[in-house]
Amino acid sequence: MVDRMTSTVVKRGEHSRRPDPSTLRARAIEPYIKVVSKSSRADISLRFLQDMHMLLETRHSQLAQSFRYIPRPLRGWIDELILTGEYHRSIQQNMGPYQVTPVLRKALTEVPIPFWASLYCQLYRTRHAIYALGVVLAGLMIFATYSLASWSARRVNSYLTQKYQRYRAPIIVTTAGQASAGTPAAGFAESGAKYLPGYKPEQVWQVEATGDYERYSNGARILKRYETDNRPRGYFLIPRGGETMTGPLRREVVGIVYHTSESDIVPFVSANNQSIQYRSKGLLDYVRRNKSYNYVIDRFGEIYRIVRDDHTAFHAGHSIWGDERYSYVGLNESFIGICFESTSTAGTLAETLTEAQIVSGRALTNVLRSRYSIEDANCTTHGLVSINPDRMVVAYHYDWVRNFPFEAMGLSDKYKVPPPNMLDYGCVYDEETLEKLENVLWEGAVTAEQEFRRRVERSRIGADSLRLKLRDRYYAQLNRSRQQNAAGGGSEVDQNTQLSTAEKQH
Amino acid sequence: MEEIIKVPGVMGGPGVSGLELESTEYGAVGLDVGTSRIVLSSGSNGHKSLSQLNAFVELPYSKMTEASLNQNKVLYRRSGKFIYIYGNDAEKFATAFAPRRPMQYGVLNPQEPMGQEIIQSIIESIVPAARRNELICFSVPGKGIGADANLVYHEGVLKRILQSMGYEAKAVNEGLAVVFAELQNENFTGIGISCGGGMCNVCVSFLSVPMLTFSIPVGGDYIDNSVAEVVDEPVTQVRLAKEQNLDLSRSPRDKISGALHIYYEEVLNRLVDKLREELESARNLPKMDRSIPIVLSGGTAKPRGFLQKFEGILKSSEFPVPISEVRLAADPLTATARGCYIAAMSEVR
Repeated sequence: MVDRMTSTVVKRGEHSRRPDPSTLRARAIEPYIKVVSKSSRADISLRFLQDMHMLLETRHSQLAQSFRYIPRPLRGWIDELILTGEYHRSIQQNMGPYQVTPVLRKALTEVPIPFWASLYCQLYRTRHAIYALGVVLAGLMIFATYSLASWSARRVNSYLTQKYQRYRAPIIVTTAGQASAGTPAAGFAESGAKYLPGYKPEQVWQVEATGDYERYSNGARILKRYETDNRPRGYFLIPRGGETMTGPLRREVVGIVYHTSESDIVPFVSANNQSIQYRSKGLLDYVRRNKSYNYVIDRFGEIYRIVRDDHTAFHAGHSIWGDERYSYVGLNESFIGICFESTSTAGTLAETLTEAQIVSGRALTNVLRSRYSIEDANCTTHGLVSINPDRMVVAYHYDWVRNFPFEAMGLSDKYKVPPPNMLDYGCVYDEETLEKLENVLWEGAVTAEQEFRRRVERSRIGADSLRLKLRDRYYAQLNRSRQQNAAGGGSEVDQNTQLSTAEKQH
Repeated sequence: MEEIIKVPGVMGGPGVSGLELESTEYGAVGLDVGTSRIVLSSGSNGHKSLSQLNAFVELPYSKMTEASLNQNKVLYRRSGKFIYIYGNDAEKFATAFAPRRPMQYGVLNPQEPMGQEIIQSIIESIVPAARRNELICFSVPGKGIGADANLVYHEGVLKRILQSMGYEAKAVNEGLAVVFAELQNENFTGIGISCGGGMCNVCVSFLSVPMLTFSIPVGGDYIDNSVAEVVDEPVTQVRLAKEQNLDLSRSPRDKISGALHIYYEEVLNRLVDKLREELESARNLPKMDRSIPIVLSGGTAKPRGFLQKFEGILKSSEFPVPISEVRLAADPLTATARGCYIAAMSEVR
């Protein structure tokens, strides 16, 4: 018995809840064959039926392969819905050869079919538009997901940045000399960087001078046994923020730079008396040989003149400072270098300096300020003036970059002052600098950085370009001074070897 | 059996056919190979039919006989010491010579040694040679008691004959051919019954798909032979009475009519019973949510009252499927051939 329609056996009298595929095929074909039969010859009608039978049976076989993944309880429903739609769609798609007359064509396209099948066919006809819409929607979803993820990441980053900046605190404002509250020096800690008090030194005169020492009216005694010569000072004045150097070569002392020796330090106890002396002697011999400083104050508070005041000592190297009127580059030429026998890693001030050193430091500072009319603004520390000119980074040498007892020296807190090397020459600090500084950046550096950024915005050239320009300016100014000094007969020693290592005592 | 249309210019002779090639213009031909007649259907809508009696007579061969036959354009074939006159012309010699039938009960007669040759000659006389490998659909009976093995041989022989003429041959069930011919308006859904000389063929079709086919080995020949036996009359006499005077809707007037009534009733009872039995036992029939028609065709269905008698027997007891109507084919003698033609045309692209 030939049976091309039924692929499943249905027992007569057995009523299944869902019609089998053969019944669905028959239901799908009947409306169309009625139309075709009315308008066509018998052989055309028969051909239509046979073609549709074969078409729908093939289609069912194809769909059956996909349907096998559908759970059995749902299969009946899906079969009926999908197959009904598919059968009608397949018939409509393939009945073209039978639409031989306009009347027949019209009649075939108007065959009444179930709503679901009609919807299915309509969706199929517009499938390309639906695909395109799907692609667009998918693109929009991807974009929305990406935007949401980016926004979330930015929010999280912002939150974490705020959260951890509070605790990382790369910037800590140092109070002058770490003085505790209530002391006279602590009063100056509150003053802002813009407005410095007068800090006029008391008038000090020389009481007596011998071959070995000089004694002054404020009790300072300067020992001369390690005194030596170098070459005369020579520098040009640079108007603050300006480029060109003005006036003749100058030779007078303008300021003081405080240093630490970075030499070997032992605990300051009586048991180490000899060791302390031994190390001090070693330091003094070394710095005399290398003409490293103008003055050294040992741990017992003894003041030693090393290089005479009117001569250059190699203490500052590449450095920049400035007061209200002038900028100074290469401070060896214009500033006196006072070195405290100590290390910058000693810890607190009490661990860094002995009380005798503080007393002697203040006395020596007053002597020098009184003699050379040195302004308070030009009394600073090595860490605040030192730069690396190749990268224009501050605190290349970082002794006294914090904890210097400015107040104890009778000076204002220079940690509040925007350093001219950052403010006027665009020097920066980097991760290496911060690491050296243990993430402690002084207040003046922060202020200088912000001000420089404003200057960059006003200049309308990029920060990097401006820094390069300023670096070139620094080198030009420095080289001019050096050239003049060299022409004047002074010996030129590589200043960058000074104080860059901790081999000071032997 | 009367001829339907004779195409002029038909020539006799073995292996020669002078049929106009009109039928092959459309690329398809339908052929009803019945026990009593072989009918060809062709033309633009299968409207042209050719019919030949499926019988032959054997004459001793002589040159004079042969010349006379040629002169009268009689279809014949010479084989050894005999001349075999076949087709419609055989009827003219039936009174003098005993007619023989190549087929019996719808299939090739195994007891007839000349059956295959004569069938081939008859077919070649009405079917034109194919020009471009045209398609021809020929009728075959459905499966029946004792006929299954013979069906395979019968179909194979016919296919070989037609293929030798250049056709692509396909077999179509007789009952299904009736469905194709008569049930277009019903979407080829219904029951087609061909009551021929040798057997009755039945096909239950659903949207042109045969769901159930069978045959019973009784037909016009059985009725004729049975009546002839019981009334002790020649078969030709019985056949004549059947064709001319029989009215199954009225009471029989004579002995022959009475016997014909009885045997017709028997054939119809067997047919309806078998149909009922097959429908009840069939397991893969689709659910019929509407009633379907029955179409009767074949020479055995031609007598007056046959339709009424069939309806009466059908309604006498419950039927497994609802029946909308019972009707006779528009042309019972050519319905099968037209159905084969329609089947062939539907395959032509």
